[in-house]
Amino acid sequence: MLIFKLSIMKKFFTYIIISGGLILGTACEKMLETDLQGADLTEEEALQSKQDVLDLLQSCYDVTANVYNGRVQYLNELLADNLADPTINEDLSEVYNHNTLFFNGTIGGIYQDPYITVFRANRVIEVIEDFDFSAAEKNEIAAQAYFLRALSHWELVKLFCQPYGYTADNSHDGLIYKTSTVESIVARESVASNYANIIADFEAALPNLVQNSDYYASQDAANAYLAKIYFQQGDYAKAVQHADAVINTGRYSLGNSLDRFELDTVNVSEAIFTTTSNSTLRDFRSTGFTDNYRSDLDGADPLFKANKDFYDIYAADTADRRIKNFFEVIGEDADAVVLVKKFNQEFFDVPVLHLTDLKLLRAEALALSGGDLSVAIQDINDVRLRAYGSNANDLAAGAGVSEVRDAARYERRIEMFGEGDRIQQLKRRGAIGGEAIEIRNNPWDCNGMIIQFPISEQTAAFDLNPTGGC
Amino acid sequence: MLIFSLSFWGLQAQVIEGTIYDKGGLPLPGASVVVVGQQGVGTSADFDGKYTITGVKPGSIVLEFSFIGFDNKRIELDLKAGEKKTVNATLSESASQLEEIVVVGYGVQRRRDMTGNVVKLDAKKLNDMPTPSFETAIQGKAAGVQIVTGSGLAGSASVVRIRGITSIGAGGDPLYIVDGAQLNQDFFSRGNSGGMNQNPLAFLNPDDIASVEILKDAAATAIYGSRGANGVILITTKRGSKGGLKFNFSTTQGVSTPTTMPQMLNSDQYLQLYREAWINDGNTGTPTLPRSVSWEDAQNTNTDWVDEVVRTGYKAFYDFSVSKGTDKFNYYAGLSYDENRSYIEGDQYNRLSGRFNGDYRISDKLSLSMSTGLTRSTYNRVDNAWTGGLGSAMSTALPIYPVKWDRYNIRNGDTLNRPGDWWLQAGVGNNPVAQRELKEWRMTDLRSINNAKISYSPFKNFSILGSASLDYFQSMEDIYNPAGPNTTNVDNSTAGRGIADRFPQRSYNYNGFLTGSYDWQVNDNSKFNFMLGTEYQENFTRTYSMTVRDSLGNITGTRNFVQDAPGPFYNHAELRNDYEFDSVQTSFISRFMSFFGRVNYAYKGKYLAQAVLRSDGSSRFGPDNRFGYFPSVSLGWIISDEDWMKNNRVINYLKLKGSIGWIGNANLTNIEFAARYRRDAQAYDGRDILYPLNNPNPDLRWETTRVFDFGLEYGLLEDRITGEIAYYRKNTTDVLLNVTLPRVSGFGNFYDNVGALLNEGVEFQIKSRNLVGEFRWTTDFNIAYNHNEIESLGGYSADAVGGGTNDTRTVVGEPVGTNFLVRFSHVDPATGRPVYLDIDGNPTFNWDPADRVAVGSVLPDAVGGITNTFGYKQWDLSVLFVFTIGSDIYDSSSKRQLGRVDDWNRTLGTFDRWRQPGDEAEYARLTLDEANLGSNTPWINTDQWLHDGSFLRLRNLTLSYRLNNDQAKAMGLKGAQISFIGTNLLTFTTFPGLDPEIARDFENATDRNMSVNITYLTPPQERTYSVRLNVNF
Repeated sequence: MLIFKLSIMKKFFTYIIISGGLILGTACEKMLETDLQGADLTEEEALQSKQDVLDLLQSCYDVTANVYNGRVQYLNELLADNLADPTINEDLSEVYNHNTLFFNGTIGGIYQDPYITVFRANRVIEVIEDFDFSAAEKNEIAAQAYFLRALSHWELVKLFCQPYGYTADNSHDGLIYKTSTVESIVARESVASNYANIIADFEAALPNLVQNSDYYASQDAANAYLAKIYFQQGDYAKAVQHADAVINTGRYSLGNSLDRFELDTVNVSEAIFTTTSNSTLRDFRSTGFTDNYRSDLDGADPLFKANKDFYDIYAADTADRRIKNFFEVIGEDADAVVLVKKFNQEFFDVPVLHLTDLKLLRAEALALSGGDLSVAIQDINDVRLRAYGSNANDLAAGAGVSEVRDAARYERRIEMFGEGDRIQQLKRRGAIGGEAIEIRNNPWDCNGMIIQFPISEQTAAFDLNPTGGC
Repeated sequence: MLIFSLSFWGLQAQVIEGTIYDKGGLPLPGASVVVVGQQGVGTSADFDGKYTITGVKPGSIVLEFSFIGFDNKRIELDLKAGEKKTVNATLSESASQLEEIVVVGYGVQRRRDMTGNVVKLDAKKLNDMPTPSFETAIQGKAAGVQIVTGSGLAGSASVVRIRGITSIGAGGDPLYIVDGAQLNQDFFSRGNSGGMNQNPLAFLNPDDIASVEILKDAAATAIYGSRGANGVILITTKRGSKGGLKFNFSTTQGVSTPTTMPQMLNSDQYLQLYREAWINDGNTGTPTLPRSVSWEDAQNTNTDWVDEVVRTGYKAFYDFSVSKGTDKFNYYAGLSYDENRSYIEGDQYNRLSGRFNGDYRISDKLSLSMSTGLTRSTYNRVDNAWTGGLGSAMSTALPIYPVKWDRYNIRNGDTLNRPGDWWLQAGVGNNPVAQRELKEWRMTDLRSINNAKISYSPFKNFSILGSASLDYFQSMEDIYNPAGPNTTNVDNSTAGRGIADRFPQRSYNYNGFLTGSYDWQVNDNSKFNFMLGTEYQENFTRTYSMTVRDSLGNITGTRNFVQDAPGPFYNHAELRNDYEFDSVQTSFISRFMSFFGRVNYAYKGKYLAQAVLRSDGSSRFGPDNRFGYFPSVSLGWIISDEDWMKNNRVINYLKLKGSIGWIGNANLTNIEFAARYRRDAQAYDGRDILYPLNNPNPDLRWETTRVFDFGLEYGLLEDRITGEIAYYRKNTTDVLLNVTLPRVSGFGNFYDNVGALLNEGVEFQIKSRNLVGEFRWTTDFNIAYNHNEIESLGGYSADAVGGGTNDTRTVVGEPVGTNFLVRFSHVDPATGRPVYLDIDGNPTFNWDPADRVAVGSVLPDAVGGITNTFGYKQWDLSVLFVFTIGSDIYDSSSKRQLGRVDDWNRTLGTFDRWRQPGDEAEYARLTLDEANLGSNTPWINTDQWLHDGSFLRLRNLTLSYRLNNDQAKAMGLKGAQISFIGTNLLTFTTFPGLDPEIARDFENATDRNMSVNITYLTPPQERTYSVRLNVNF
């Protein structure tokens, strides 16, 4: 009887042990794999075809368009001396006052978006080998990813780090340059290292990109970026070399329109790389501009207005058509406010890279590097012809180096108003040119001249920028 | 016929009567007595402990006395035909730590044999006061268990913490199990809408509960493996006890008020101070008031918004139950209705619940049992806290705003408002009366917890138990906002008559286990018990929407609203018939598969040992970390059983016990280990995009807590004094953090096992029968000290984990929920500006968040309670004080109520402000410009709003009178008792805000872990006065 009982018990316990073993083993492990919530897909489900990889790449452009929708431009602009104080917006007022705090929510968003692009671009690079692309396709996709990764870091390093040349060896704190999707706590790299990485990515992308494209990565766009980067580094010869690579294709012309912010940049002949809005889908990627600058709506009191001091520099030249096209003064004397008309459209494509930029860049670079001044003068005069509608204001053919340099800077400031260019030029002049530049009474290299990181960045390894403003 | 005759003859003849006492001489109302072997012959004692049994067959009989919490006792006697005998019985409390049966995981144990730390609370301790939900009645009664009652809102969730908090990013609440069924306990099923988290535990009728066991240490909780680290609360509902048919009816009727009433400025005061700020800022002329209210209109208006939203609450509770038990079967059936109208106008939680528990012994070997409860609740909701109601009355509803228009409001010739229309110029959130009256909002929930068990014992000492449970939760949220004139939605071009929202939800929680256990008596000295088991659990939620199609019939999306609706869904059958919620979305499905075993060993009944191992597999973690193993070992030594202690005159019971174990926490509410992607059609440049939603963490795994526990149970002076002292140390590693990722990652948040936490504490509990006899006095005291410290955050910063909007932080070396704030020093007498301290402690006028330091913690150093029970004849008086020592409260609302002057009303404390040079004031000079406060942020978090949250509270005072046997008999009853109950009658605290017991609405699990004791317009607790009547028949 006892044996019988024990055998029942043994059977029972054996059953439990076996079922336990099944659970612990792999047989039942499938039971523990459950579906994701709602329409979410696992990566395995999401990335099944070559088109899926292309769609993932497309999402990088989607985010990049949000970065360039006016936000990254106006943050740059706020640090400089082209805009008036946007007093009613506390976050942006901090930027204007050269004293951003790490709880600035607007900054947090703008800092994150380029890194979203970077994560996705890195993921594309990581998974591409798993798909049946031809070698050429693979190279082109990877090239686009490098291009997107590079431009994302480039926009951030300009805003959040002191400029190239701030220290002799550029060992000062830069960004984390992300080249993989692995999450880890690491220290900031040097600005020297950041620039080297950005250049390396663009250089790596160059040979495999298409020659030109309206909204996507191309050789022309990569060259234009490289021209700007070398220019910022003070390597004017290389800047000219890459600017030439674009300008000399003859694919781009300045056109007649003063305002390159048009509904559809396909018709803007000087656009090298733009982000696009879609009117049919009402997908507008220009809201950073339109929400904050538009002055043509009923009762509009836009957040951003031009700085009166800036306006006054140009206003005396009544022949300059840009003044009337871009600005409108309301009120008088001390109450005078300079509204901006440049972005008065419901939406538009945003020209990120364009010929005006490259021509003025080349002109200044040639002047600063002892290059061919006739080319520089022609570049400036091309821009002036469009601005004045005649050659009456042309720079004389025999203009000297400083005259050419100053003319290029003068044109550059008004041409690229609102595009976030001015601050970088001032910093370059301070850091590379050794000029004692002050921006609204603050030295170009004071703490508040770069934006504070969001508090989320602070880790045991990552130091925030120094606090305390200028 | 013969049987009938015998019965009849018997009924007429023999009678046994007597009184059942405890060892202290207290009568034991409700104790049972049955005649063994004579089925159906028995009764239960009345409120004086007296019983009378008729119909006893004469002869040699055995009486068995029993009562919950006491050891059974048998008395043999001879009863002659026609004889009437008096048999008094004295029962020993099992709580004397010897024989009490305690429910533990997957079984029961004698307390004497236990090596773990378990607190048992019986029904008497849980029903002694009216509470919106049973768990709040535990407060102050169990050492090491911190209960923070939800706000004054009827359905708000409380926070329960056992021995501190062992998690940061995962749920920190204990596991709740009702009669073997694991509960769904989603505190965020409706988010924090309306400024509240709805209480997922409120469905349970407290009168149905027989006992609650709280499992605290690893010896007790390791059997629950990956879900045991926060402690386990086992709830056992009532079952029929042996004896005849018993009926019980009880009712409680009560009223309630807030424990503290907010004191806000009236219109004159507001205008006076507003003008002062205006002038301080250098302005002249008539100040521009918020929302363009004219100065004249403001002067002519004085609305007391607090008065408009607060009422006298009313509570009505009815419970009726019937039970019966025999050797073969027993059952308990109960029906209850609870109507809980809080002191907040419009806030009412009604609960109708039914329960049937039954057991049937098919044979000596086989028995079946079932427990089922069904609850239907309707909760009429109003916005509160930061969303409206009393919250508005304390903030955005200014006394200069009227409730209604008293004149025509005409603009451009159009009559926009008529007299009597709601005044909505400042928005509906600023008129809490209009908000309440216009919006119809109701939660209708159905909850059913079911468990069936089958027990089979093929031979002595071996039994098999199979259990299957279902926790089904159906929840319907309905909101109706009317449109048209005199509503918040004047433009009714699309809304029509109004918008009816409906959000249906169903949750399913299946759970089944199978265990086998074997008692092996090796010899007289050695005894083993083996238990092995396996378990499966599955849990998911479905939400329902209406499919939206275009004119071609293609699906274009889903929605949960109907435009041009005549009213809410629950009032309109046509809406319910016309609209089908045909789109189903299933949330995160969670599965657990487990295997566990336990071995107990006792040598000579005084040397005890236990080993437990559980293995859990969970779908919540990735393939590499899918399984976790959770062992514990424990030892016990009943020292008082040693020969050298046996004759000790003072110490009659002494047990030393210790355990170590590793237990887990897997309380995640989504799949966080896997990469999740989403696809958007035509997203950029008209092309589709596919993009990742998270940064996957394939290494994600359980939090593991190593628990070391050391305890001493004692009984002195023949158990006149009993209690327990315990020390524990809990080291949690792999703490799950919902890290606010460095943005460099490309994502906002990320779950990672990077933290380490320590909880270390001491618990002390003593129960003393100070006086026994006619005048009785018992004192029950407990206090628990806990030290909580974050030992590591894996390199992330203090700001990487934020408690929602509540400004608590995680700082290494500090507790979870550290107040990390800029220090406020004083108000500068010369300028009236606030002076802060920078990071080095130097005074500065500038507020800079870089100067934040750890200045406090919301976690208490110690919590506890003291209950004194007095009895004299038929009167009983019970007084419970609870206390919290050393916690800080951050009054987040006062940064606006006492900070920069703006469109919030202010509290009366604001009068202590700087006015002129030389003033030494509590608060800075009034200003409308934050620059004068040294900041470019309008509302500044500083430790000026941080206060000591220690308090002592008279939580419960109950005075009862019970009828004696004769009185009851005269009324045809077995017994009756009437009680007068007051809760939260007195509070002693230095906290200058409203109520020092705060569980505000939380945003997520992290917030719930970190932000207890943060108040942001949180309604204060309720004070109630009630009468309870309990009748047995």
